[in-house]
Amino acid sequence: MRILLVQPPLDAGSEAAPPLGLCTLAAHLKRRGDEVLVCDLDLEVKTKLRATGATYLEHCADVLADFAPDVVGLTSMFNNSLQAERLIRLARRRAPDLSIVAGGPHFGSLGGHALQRIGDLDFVVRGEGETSFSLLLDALASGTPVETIPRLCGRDAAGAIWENPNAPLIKMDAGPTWRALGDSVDLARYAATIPGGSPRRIVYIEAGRGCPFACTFCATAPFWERRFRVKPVGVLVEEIRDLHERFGYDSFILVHDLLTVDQRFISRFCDAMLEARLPVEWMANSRTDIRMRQILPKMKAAGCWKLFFGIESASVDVQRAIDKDLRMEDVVQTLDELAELGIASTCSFVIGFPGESAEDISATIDMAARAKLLGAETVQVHRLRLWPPSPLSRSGIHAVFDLESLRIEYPFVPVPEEDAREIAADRQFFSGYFAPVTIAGTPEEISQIEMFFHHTLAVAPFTIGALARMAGPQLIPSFKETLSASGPIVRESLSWDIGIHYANWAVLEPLLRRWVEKLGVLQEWQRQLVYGLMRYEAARLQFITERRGDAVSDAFASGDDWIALDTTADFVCLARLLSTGEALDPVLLQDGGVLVTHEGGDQFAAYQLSLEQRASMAGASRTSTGFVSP
Amino acid sequence: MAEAIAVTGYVSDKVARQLRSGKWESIDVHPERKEGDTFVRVAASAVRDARVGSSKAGRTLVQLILNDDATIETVVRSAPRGQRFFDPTLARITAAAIANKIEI
Repeated sequence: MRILLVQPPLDAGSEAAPPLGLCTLAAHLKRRGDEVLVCDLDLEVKTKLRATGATYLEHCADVLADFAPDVVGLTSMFNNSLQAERLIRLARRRAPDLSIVAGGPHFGSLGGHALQRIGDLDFVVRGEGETSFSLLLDALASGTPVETIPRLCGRDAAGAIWENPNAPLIKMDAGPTWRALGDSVDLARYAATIPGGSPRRIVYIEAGRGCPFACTFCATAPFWERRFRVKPVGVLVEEIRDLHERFGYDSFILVHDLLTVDQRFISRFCDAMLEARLPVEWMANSRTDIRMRQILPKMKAAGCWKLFFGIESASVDVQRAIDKDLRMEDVVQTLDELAELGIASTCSFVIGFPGESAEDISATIDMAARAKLLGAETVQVHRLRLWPPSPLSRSGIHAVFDLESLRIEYPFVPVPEEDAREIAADRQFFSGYFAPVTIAGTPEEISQIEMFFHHTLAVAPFTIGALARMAGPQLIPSFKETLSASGPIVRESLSWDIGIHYANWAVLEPLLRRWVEKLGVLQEWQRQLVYGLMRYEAARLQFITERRGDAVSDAFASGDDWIALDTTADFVCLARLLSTGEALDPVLLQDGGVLVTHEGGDQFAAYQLSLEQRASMAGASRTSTGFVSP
Repeated sequence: MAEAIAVTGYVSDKVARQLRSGKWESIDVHPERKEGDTFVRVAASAVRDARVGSSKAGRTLVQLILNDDATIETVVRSAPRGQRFFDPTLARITAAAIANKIEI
């Protein structure tokens, strides 16, 4: 049969990655002998349509006419479900006899409810798609009944919706995905969207499925029915080799809910990667209560450049309430072990859980800053989202429509009013864009807390870490008071791209300054310490943005690739106290200096100067190249 | 699973070729691909097995399995610049120049 698999536009960025779910399904169908074309409208928007002004709907209509499929399959990732729905309606108008099937994270979680909402949709495959989609194609080709196909949802002749029970999950022992795709996908077009000069050429590959844990907010663990499965090591290494050799990808995100839970697998994978001698790196998801000290050196040697950890909250009560039960001692130990080996990490925190207090969030922000000072490359602060089929999304907790959640990730910016109205009108379908009500603050306040700390932790970790440590539980309550008096930050004024943004500091600094001025729990030495940290963070942000010493007006001396700054803090001691979790002390308030040097590429270094060193620096030439004392 | 103490890091491709040939006396192993101010100096007499991995941008990954009673040197080269501190906004964390216990 001729199958057209469609991904709607996904995000507002410029890079496009091959749609993993559709490509996996396409490879499966190709192995069966089906004729498959993947129509990735995200790729088309980014590489063609923005320039021509044509819409994704017009492009899809052309593809439908050219390819003339027997069956169309659509996926969506929650944020682009409205676009998927419009594509379904388009396909029905263009080809009334076409069979239209939906699946993937959103439709595949909602099953029959998607059919209720979208009358033009014929079938939904719930959960894992390979087996059910294949059986459906066979039934459609032979004209046999579809009502017994596991995981399939459809309508009877009277329009009533039926949902079949689940089937056993597949073994993930099929061959490599990417070679099997043949001409269904032009992978070179994706590789071409990576900007020249990017430090990494990143691609996602599926390593397996299923996390055995049962965190109540998590959608992916129940989607894969919590059964841990991995691809054979040899297949994974072959996929990495293939994508590296054909398209120059050198960094691989091994997509799996929790790959490191099976350390024997990780060990075998590392052995195979070492044997393969591929000059590539990889990252994976882990948990901080999985002890990996013994295997981390091998992982580093085998190319592991980063691990992702969902830490969620520093509150014991919240950890218990969400059935995650992480201990912060384990977080610190894990980050210490990674730092020793130079393995980077992303630490993700979630705020806005029902029952979570503002004081709980204060502790979480302190932990987030600590993680940053312990070496986490990226610290993310997210709001709780009710994605189906997570247990929390089905718990009936009170939630209100939240445009801010939608604006974070909508494929089109700004979000069209018509789209926002449609999404706001159907909570059951679009539950991810309805913010749960929490005692920590209003949805607007939680949104501002998310935005402010997500960005300030990136650009000013010392300032936020010190404030969190000194204000303690009052951190968030006092921030909310300042916010109420000053008004909100405008989301569009911030850059959300990865990287360090001096421009973001300019947006955030006025609110930060007002907050520090009003923060009643601070003693005077603490306030002076924070002002000193803010001066340092602003100057070094300006330096790493401009990359010219003479661009930094606050520097008392500078060269082409260095600046020297007056400071009022002992940064060596401060960095240690913030990372160990100890209380800050007035002894930190010390006159001195800091030298910031550009070490080449995107690497910089900072050195604490003694008063004597600071004095000797004061006469250094502002135009000299390199760090030269007079 | 057996364990050993090993130094894992990067050397130039030229040094890696010497390692493969077995004709070497002492090498400097850098914990990151890019050469930094801190590295490990290992004598051939301290090594019972030398593994040579992938090469990228002129630098080759190596793993030196040490003898049980081996000693190695950690070398820190520094200019009189004051005391370095970790500012996560300026640089990513880098590996320490040390030997680690590994599974073999």
